[in-house]
Amino acid sequence: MNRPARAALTVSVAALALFTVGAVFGLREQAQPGPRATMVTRVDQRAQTIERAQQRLRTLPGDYRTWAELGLAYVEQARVTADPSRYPLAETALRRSLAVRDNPDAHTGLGALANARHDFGAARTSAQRALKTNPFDAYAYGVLADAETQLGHPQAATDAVQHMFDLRPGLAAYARGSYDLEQRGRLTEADDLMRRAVAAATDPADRAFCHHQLGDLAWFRGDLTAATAEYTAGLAADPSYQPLLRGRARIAATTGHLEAAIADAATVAARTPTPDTLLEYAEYLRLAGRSADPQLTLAEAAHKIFEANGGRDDLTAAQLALARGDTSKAVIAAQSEWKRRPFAEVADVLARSLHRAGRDDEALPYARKAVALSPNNAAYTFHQAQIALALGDRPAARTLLTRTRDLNPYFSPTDGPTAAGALTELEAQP
Amino acid sequence: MRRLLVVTALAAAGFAALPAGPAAAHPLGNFSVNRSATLTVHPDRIDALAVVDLAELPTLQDAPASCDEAAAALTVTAGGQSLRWSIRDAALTYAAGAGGLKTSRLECRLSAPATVNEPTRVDVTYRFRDDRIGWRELVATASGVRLEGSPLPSASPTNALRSYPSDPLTSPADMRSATFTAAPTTDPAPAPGPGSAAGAGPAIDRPSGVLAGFEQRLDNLVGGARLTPLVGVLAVLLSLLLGAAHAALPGHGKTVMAAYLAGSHGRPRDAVLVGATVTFTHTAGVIALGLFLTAVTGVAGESVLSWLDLTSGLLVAAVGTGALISALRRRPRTHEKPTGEEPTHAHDHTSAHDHTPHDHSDGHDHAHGHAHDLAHGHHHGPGRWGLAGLGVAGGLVPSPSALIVLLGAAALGRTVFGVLLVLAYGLGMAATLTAAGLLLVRLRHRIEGRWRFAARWRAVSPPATAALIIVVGVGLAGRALAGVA
Repeated sequence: MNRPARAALTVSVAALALFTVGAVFGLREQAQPGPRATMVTRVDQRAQTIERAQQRLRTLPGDYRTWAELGLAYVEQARVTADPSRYPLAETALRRSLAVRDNPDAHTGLGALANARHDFGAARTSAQRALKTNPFDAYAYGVLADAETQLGHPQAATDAVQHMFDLRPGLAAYARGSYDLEQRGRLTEADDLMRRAVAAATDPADRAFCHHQLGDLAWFRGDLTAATAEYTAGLAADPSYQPLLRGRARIAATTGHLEAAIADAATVAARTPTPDTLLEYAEYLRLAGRSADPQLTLAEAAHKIFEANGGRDDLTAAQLALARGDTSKAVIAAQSEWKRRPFAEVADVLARSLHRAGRDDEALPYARKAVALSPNNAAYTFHQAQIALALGDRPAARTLLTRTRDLNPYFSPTDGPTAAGALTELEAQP
Repeated sequence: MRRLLVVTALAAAGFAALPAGPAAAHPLGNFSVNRSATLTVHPDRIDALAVVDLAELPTLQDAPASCDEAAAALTVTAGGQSLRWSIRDAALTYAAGAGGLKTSRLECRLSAPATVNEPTRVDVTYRFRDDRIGWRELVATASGVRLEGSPLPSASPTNALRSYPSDPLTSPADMRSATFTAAPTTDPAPAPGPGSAAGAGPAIDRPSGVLAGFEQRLDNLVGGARLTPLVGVLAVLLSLLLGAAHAALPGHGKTVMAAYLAGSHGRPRDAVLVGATVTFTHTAGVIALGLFLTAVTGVAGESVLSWLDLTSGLLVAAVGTGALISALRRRPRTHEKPTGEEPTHAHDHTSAHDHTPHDHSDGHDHAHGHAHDLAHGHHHGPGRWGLAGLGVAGGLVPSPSALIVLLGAAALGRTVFGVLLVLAYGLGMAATLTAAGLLLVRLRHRIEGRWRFAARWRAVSPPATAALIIVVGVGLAGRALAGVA
């Protein structure tokens, strides 16, 4: 064996031996455990997020990412607890984030906040701004989808939801996808998607949200048993989630349990006296033959404050005027809202206002639009039937009323029986 | 620094330019019901100030709030005895709110007899219209007695519901009940105030050790609201100090370098080379890792560090192997001249222990360097490339504190400042390593001059040193492997 070969052999054997020794001793020594992220069982995810962000920002007040995170957490908390006192805090946090540096997260947060305050145009602008900088922000697509839906751009909303699905298929995407499908009348698919969402939800408030959506979907197709089951499941997950009580009250009212409906509606209206909760409460009180004037006064006051704070919501103004019987005011308000956002619900309220004002010729196109935009909504179909009846078009009214019955005979505790009575009458005289 | 000041000024201007919200709206929303109860414990009685602030809609919606309702909602037990309030004073006022509506404010002064001549447990619960949304605060003070273990503030954070904090760092208060102990003061002097409650608070999680304290201080400096030039200079100095201290701790490739410089024929220049390489690698490594962690979310910095540890260990082992090969090849020739004062060999371009003035220039050296080192190995240590490798290994694993400082600075929009700090950190590390290297080189010369066995040691030292380097490298890699796996 020549010398280089022997040297190489020596080196190899020595290296191997040393490697073994080193490996044995090295592996015996435990690597120091780093600061591992521990999964804590989360009771209130949002409250914890807020607390953590606050702590961090007290020492790092220039951390714009955490400011944005804090602002968004406040928006979410306001949504879950229905406590609007979080909105100014959210806004301050988000503005502070932007003051440190222009960043997409803060714009997304402002968009979510604008949606929560029903300023859908501003929400869309903010979401688009965020997406310009960060086109992979799934949450920004969610904000955009919400805004586009409310602004009456269903195709843009569907696109945004699709982007959200592509980027981050999760609870938020499922919920929005489900709502989008519901809007387009694909109720079975909407239901499937929401079931996947409820399976993905861990937070009690999220579970309550999902069960509420499922309950509404069931009610929408007239399945009161399934709807009740979902509302009950949701209340078991989070008893403080107000929309569930509203859903339960609606079912109680349509099945004749008016006292139960009034009790639930009173609880909701006492805690969150917003125009829509108060209008529902007023409807049940009227149905029971009681006076609803204090509730309407309160709803008007709530709306007045909303406008005094710089908000604009002519849809609510129209609904309030309709409840008061002031039809000309309702028509003006609904027309003004329709100019800003051609959304199905706005078309329906405008049609109803015109119908109540005796202008059925003008009302019909809007009623048709509402039905075209949301073909499975029994209430919209019934309102079109009313207009058809007023115009003397009995065959059309009969078709529409039949469709109403097929869609959801329980669509309204007040109008449901009226619709059924009218259909019976139409069927009796050919 | 100037840019930072400008950014700070712009940020301040941004705050100032924020549009103010509508002044008339209730700060906590137009349907909030806000409650505050302030207890004052006396030796013979407990006084309470119960305040209710109703926003516009509850004022319109519900029956006016009354002190009977407030007194019934405020339940206090002292030593197990339920207090029965008597109403001393009541005031209900209205104020103009948003949308031409009114808000209302109820103030009730309540009092109830209670004896505090021994430590007495006090439970307080305030449930005024408990289902409503709004602010809930409890306050406890004492007069002539002292409170122990009170979780409550001694002054109202809202000046009794007159001004609500608009700071997003303060969550709206939601305090519904509390328990504390009232005890008679042993001190004859009247001692009003919160008593010793504050002293019993939980200890702050202090970092242990002087070094950790300095690290905390550096983080605070970087994260501070204002960054004046003085603070900036202080932060840089602190970074230098931290880097130096970090390098003094055992670990990384420092041991290896020390072993090499001590065992083989390292010169002061080599020590400086290693120091420079460490600084460069460490700075570049921290910045690269910082960028990587910022750009790629969902990567745990911890696992990246483990992999870098592994790479560093393997690199050290590779350098050691290279040195061992060259040392073994060279051995048959060197052992005949144990004094090491051999004439310069024709192929000795890298000149690890070259003392002759007609040495090759650096450029020449560079051109041949690596290949010659490995092919001919006519020197004792790992060679210049090997030294650079050791330096890289020493600087490759970013120190976590430097990384945190960089990420923190970047999050604050102070990236340039963060890079400066990391550079200072690397310089500090290099200073320690170079100083240690120089010290060892000196020490070795002394030892060689005095003891005879030093000559024998010199003969065997190259392979021994190389073997030691391999052991340490493999050990480092093995430990990192345990972390990666």
